Amino acid sequence: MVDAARQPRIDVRTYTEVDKVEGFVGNFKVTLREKAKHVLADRCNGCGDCAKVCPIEVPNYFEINLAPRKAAYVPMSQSVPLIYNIDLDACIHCYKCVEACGPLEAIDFSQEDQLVRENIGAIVVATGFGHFDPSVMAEYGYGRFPNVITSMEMERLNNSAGPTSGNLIRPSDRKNPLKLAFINCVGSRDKRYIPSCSNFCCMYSIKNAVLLKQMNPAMDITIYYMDIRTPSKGYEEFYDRAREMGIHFIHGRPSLITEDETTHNLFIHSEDISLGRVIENEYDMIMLNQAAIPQPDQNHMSSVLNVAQSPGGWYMEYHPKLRPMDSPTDGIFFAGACQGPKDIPSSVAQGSAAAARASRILHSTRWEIEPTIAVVWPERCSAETRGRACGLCVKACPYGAVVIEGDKAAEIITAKCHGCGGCVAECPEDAITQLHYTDAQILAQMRALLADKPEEKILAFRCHWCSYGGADLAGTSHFEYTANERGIKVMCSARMDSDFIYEAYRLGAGGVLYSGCHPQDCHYITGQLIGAKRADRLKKIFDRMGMTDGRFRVEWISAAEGDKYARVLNEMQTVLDNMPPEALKEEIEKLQPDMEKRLKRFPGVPGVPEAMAYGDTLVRAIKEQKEPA
Amino acid sequence: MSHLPTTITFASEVKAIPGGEHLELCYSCGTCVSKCLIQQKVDPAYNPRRLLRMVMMDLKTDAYLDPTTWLCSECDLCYEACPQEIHISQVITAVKHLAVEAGFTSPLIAVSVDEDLCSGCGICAMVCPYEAPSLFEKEVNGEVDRLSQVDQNKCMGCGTCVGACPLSAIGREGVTNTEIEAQIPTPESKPPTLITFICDWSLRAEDDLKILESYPPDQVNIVHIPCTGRIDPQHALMALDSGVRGVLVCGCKPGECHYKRGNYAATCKMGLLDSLLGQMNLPEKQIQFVQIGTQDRGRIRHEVDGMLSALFDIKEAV
Amino acid sequence: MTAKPKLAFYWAASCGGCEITITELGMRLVDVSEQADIVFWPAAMDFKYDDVRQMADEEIDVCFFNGAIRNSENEEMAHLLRQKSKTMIAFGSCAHMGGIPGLANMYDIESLCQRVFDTSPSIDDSRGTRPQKTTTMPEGDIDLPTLFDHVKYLGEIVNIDYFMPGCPPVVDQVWIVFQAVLNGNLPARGSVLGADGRSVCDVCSRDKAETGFRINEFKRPHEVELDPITCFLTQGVICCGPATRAGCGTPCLEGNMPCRGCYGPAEGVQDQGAKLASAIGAMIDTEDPDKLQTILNTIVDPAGSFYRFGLAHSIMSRMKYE
Repeated sequence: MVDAARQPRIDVRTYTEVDKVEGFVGNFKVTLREKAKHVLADRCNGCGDCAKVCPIEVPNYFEINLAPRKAAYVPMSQSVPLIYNIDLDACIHCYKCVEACGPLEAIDFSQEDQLVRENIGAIVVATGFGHFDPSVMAEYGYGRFPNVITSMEMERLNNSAGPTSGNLIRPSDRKNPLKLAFINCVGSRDKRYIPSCSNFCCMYSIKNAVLLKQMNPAMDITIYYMDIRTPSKGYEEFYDRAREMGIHFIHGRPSLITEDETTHNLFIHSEDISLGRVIENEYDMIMLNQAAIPQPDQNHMSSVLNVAQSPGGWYMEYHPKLRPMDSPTDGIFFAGACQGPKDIPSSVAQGSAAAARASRILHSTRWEIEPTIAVVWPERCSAETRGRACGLCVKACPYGAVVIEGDKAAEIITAKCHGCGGCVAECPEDAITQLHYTDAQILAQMRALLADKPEEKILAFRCHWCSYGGADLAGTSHFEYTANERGIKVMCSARMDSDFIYEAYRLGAGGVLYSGCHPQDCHYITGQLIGAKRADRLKKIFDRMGMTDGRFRVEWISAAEGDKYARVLNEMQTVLDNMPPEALKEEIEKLQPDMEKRLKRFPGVPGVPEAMAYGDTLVRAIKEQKEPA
Repeated sequence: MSHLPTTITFASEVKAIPGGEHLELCYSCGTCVSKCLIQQKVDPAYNPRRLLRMVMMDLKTDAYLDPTTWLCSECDLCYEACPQEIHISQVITAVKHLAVEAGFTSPLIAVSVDEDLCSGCGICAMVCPYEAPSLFEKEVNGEVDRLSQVDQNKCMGCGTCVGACPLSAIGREGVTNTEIEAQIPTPESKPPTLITFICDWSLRAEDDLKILESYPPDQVNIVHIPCTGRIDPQHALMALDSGVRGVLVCGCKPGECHYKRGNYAATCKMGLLDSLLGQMNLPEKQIQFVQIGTQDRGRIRHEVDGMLSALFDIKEAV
Repeated sequence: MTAKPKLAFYWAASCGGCEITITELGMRLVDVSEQADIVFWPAAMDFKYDDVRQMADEEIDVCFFNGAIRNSENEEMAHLLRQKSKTMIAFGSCAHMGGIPGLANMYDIESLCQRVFDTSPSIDDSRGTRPQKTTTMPEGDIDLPTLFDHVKYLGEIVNIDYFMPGCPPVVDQVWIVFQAVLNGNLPARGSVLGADGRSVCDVCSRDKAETGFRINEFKRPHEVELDPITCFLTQGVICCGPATRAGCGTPCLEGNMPCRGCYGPAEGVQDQGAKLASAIGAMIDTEDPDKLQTILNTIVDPAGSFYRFGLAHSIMSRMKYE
């Protein structure tokens, strides 16, 4: 840490929070709140005289509240930079510290929080993890039985820089415990609290046991576990070594801890599963391996950074296997447990990876983005035509790339746009278009595909990342499916405009398939949710219109589900086959006026009339068996 | 979904019964086994974790014959303790249900009704936590008589019905009025200072039971009952009438009764007894009802000592 | 036996209802008077105590003694009549187990006097009047009997040969017992007369609760429109039927009112009130254990409900006054 502080191009700002993050990759404007330490950084030399004379003691968070600190304090003696801090919540304004500081005059009670705006190219988030508080688990007695402690408390108690200088003592009588038990998975893997595994506790449980046993071989240590997870290099061997040292392992999750009220010794009630017997053992002290949980402000920081959270609250990575240190927001990266609990080697590896990804940004003069970006026609936006923007595009964007300021038309921050097309389809005024996937282009494809005998055709809208891949796989795997299928690709199911569907039926399509990724797989995070909502609405509308069930299908098909793609298409074909041709024609004709009514605005979209005209010439040519003009 | 099972397995049969749905989530942590007291106090072969395993491994007959299937009293302590939120007691009850359908019967000795004494009042059917008794009609000497009968596969032997039955018409060995009354001293037999009615489940630790048994017999007599639901205020009053100075009834905390609601029945009975003593201006402190929790190790000593000193105060006052 | 049997009727601390039940025999009393000699019946005829004192021991064949023992006069007459009778029957709830007067055992004399002489609603100007043992009048001193500090039942102070429960015993049963007396057909000494060996629930034909039914609120009979077909307990109304001896023919139930337990404990019940508390307490339930006390509070007067007729006979009374 000292090296980092000394590096001229690293600026370490402690006691500082990130208030706001605006802008986009390479061009972030970050508002930092440098909180008032009430100590002037350029004058304080870290001598600690203020702390010596301060009369107020409060629990020290760094020592897990096992030891006090003064109102004038540094969190730990190796703090970098070594600048003291006055905690005004505890301070009684006796000003003894000012007196002690003397001629240095480093203390300034008038200091206020400073808001500083910095230009930032890339952001790496490494905010770590929080600790589950086991007092909610009444059966373990934490908080009531003094000799039940947590693993973080143990870390301080056996640390030579800790409150007892590394001398492990029992809270109740300060004696050295001889017989200890550790309980793994306290709060973890528990649907009532934290369903996930906390990753590193098995190893540090064994580590603590080995450490204590090394210091005092007379200690009797038992670890109660559900599973011992020691997957990485050397870990299993470490587990073996622990067993060889005489550390006991009991396969069984304790259901209850009771206490002898005179000795404050504890009794663990557990099944020993290897024996198949319920056991009750007495211990001097118990350590609970508490679950790792996201930091308490992770929800808040999620909004500040505009990054998503995975189930459980950890920051969500772009892709769990392929890009685990990237956030879906370009320019923001994750390192360490904030993205999911992990141990030190993994954290270091991820940190290096995040640094490498960040430095790419800092060393580029250009940033490559997807070409299929959205572009606003401001004169069509309801901000201009009706005096107020509707904001549907803002809601649709998974990346916060659309902004509306005041009465102005919607604006897209190009660098943030990933090209899903959701805003394009959502806009009720058709005021946004998507490069390479304009309404006109898609309409032209539709006209071509449905030019000849449309009632026999099944028009399949597929998303680039999943269902298109699924269709490909069906083909390369030689799964037989109906030759009447005609596919149109868009980037995301969010782009599949209702107008396309209505138009397809107006043109006489027999069936339409609306397909995309499974909800958890969407390349654009929440694009599929928008597509799905729209698809459900369309299904209801068509049901009410009396369309035969099966002519409109909504299916979520992954790139690996070639068999599903083939099956769905064949099912749709069966529906069409089961309708007598006259009945189908009748239904198509019956519903056409309704479709037309819903498409009133469509011809007003720039490029659409031309595409329609093109389509008309195609149809004419087919009818006349001539090449189109 | 393409993952639905295509064959009916024992596990799928159990999962189809409400409560049994998530049993495959069990990862054998063993919390349920040690939370439950049956293995410790009744049968070492009792093991809910192993029973769930039998279900998952399709070992139907083993499951039907396993003591776990028949001894579980649905107290739900295991459900509260399970980190996978499996309703373990319901899974066991589902297995029992299937076992009964397959023709197996409970090895427990259920209470039975003496039809000569039974008046058909239906109180046993109302108080039973397991709804084991039910009323039926039978022709006796040309008249239609209403009587109670007990489903032996549902009875868990808590004795709540025995305590409530007005005419001592229901019972089984171990919980009859005669057996309890035999343990209540008579004036001639040198009554102790305190008589303690204690349920079989409230003292989890063996040490605690030893503490209770360590009091000399002229000070404290112990009457063991399966559940405080078995308590009969008549017995408490008979004990006081015989010269015993105090009655301590010891049971489990609300929500922790081994027989689901026995302690609620006891709370009401003892509450009424308290009111009756109050209306007669008799000292209420001579009859106490305490409810001990699973973590209240060592508390029994406080309760007994406290009671003995309170009785001393009453004696001094009189 | 050619001589007509000699019968005696006496009322101690009594409301007179037991006497009325005998007169309810109506014309059958004429038959009784033809077959027996009524040698002492101060309620109906002008007999004096001296008439009894002058009898020989066991001259009376059967004495029907009703009423509880509240004062020294009651006690004196109980002993006297016992001496002068071959067979003593405790007639009615008061003699059997103290009856309604027995409820006074919840209070002490001074509290009772305060209620009667000072705070009762019909007192206009309390002058702190209290009954005096001796009052001197010009004609001489007048003594009142001593008020005992608690109510006793007949069997507590004399040996009784039979008891006939009820408040009052129903007239049809009275006739059956009289016939047994007149024909010399009484059962073994110590038996109950005029009642069954079963409980009221046995003979009650109301629909019972379904298995698993529990009570979450008690109501007093006037607070609810009583259903004549279903068990009172299912309607949340306390009925003492489960622990009460049958034989009365259940006039109360026929009148759509719950049994009050006047026929005393059924066979097998040691203490009627405690047993009722046990049975009824066990069927209270609620999803929320914190509400149990609230439900218990809806039983407004437990002693009055469960021990209405038998408080003087209860274990608690014995504990208090021994």
